[in-house]
Amino acid sequence: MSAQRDAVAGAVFAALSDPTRRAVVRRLSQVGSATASSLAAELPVTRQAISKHLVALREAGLVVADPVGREVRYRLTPAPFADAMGWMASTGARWDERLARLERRLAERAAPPG
Amino acid sequence: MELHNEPSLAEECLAVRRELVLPFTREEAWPLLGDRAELETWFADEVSVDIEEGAGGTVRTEEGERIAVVEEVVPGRRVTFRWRDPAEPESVTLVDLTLDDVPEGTRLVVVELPVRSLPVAPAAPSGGPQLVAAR
Repeated sequence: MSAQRDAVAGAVFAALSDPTRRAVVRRLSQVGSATASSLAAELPVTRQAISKHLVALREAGLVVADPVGREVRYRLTPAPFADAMGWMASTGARWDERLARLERRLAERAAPPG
Repeated sequence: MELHNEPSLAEECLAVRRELVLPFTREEAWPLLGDRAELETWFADEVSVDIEEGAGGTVRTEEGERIAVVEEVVPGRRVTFRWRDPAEPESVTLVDLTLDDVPEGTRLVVVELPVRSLPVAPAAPSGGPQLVAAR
């Protein structure tokens, strides 16, 4: 399960490794949902570039497209982001344990029992 | 372009980073990273991989065995490796252990992050199906 989480976190990280995609994700997190045209109007990139990145985000499962009348509105899907945060939390906890163990070992060596 | 000057959100928010100051010089602290027996006192239950660049093997932790490949070793300074669950090829993460000089001794910095977040190559359209598979 934690390995699955690693994989999902990897997908989220890969999707966010591009600055334009990060800007799109940030904007969608602010406005809830938006069309490709409105995103292109707000960000310093072309509508074509926005469309390309929206496709990548959809394929990564990070964004869904809802047809609304003649428009297509895009919004974030929260689950992968939650999985990525879960990966952060569990991985961080494992390192906390390892470093705590290291501290204990070093304290034992500095003051051997007896 | 303006967007490219932003700090990476992935690095900012999505990498695990921990540090611990050790009351030793870097030379004294180095075996904690570079010696398998020392790694087994804190990092994992069993380290069956040589701490040499390109070496591969396994690391056993309380959660099970992981496949590991050592990427970089700078004696006295740094060990970097990739590891993953044997059953999950997509779950590769990069672990970087670094020693820095600080007035109190040596600071051990640990960073772990999923490998695909590294901006080594822009995600091509062909990256899409891979990402879907990772779900």
